Amino acid sequence: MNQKENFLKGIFKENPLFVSVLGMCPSLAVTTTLENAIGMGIAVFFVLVLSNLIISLLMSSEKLRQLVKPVRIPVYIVIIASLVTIVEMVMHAYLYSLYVSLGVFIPLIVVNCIILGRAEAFASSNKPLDSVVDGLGMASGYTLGIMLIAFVREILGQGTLTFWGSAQLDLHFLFDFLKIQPLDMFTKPVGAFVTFGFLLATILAISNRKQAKAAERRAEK
Amino acid sequence: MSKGLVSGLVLLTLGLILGLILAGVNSITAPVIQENEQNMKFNAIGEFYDLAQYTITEEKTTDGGPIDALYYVYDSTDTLSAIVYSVKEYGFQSDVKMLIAITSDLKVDGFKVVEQGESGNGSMASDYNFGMDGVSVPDLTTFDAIANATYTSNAVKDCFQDVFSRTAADFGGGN
Repeated sequence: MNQKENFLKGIFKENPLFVSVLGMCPSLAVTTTLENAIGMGIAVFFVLVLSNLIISLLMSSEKLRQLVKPVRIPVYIVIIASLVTIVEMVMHAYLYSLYVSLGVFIPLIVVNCIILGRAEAFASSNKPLDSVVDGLGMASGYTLGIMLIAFVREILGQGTLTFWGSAQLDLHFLFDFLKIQPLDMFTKPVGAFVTFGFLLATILAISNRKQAKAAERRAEK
Repeated sequence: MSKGLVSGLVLLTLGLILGLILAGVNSITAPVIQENEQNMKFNAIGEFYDLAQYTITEEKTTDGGPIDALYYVYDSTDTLSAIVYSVKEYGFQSDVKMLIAITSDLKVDGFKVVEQGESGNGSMASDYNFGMDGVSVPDLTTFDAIANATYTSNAVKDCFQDVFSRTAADFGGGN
């Protein structure tokens, strides 16, 4: 697998949200606005890429690998928890409103299955560069996934799109044109599940259609 | 040396290195966080009182109780108009930090939840009207809790109780 395929698999083929369905709890909870999703995405980006790099470096030496192997899960947790604490402290100091919005879901990144999963399944048995590219791909796939959920939920639930801080797009004119109000349901947990369900169904339908077409083409040949 | 012990030492060493890195990051971010909190408190006090017309002096408490600071609000004639209490109580999963302003005639002049990390309905505490505006100390009968957020509401109520228990003495009267 070349680096391009390694990177793209995290976005399409092995997307952590829509294919592996991992890390759902914070993904559904924080996607009330696009800004929250971008913030969460940046935090996961930082933690995933660096944890993959550090774990891969630790495991690259055969001697160290043998020593770490019996305690590898505590080692992963210590590394990931330290990176998450750094993210939390920096956000608390410099991005306070985002820190408040994301709340308890920042420390919960520690137990995010995507990060621990990539550490065990990929970084522990691959070279540092490959692990970094894998982390970049997976983090991109995760960030794009939660941005997509947040995009739908914020527009339908609040009639706005908040990119960052005061950079907000007011789309109430669309609701005025349709003579309806934004659907508050989409800002609630039920809206998160409904949005995720519809997006997952759409993505699966597109993927199945593509596979069917590819099978047809193969049969014609 | 047994292999298990060596593995444990590796984990310990890693923990120490990461601990040092965290201490370094904390030494950079902690003063910024403290300054932000201070600014936020003064901005919140500014919502109750026009900072151009009032002079505010801060007094930190050292008793380790729920009230960590008192802000004395003096008007242009140097008369004590109000005291704003910085108080915190534990809610469902986080500290609920509040500012509660009490006037010299012992009435609640304003309050604000300045920091909380609650989830679910408890997260509404920052913008919720608890029905305490203009209430005379120590009346809590008008207190309106948030539905489905008992722990958070109790934390807010406890904050009011903490403040009410000492206001009279702080204004120079009997308690």
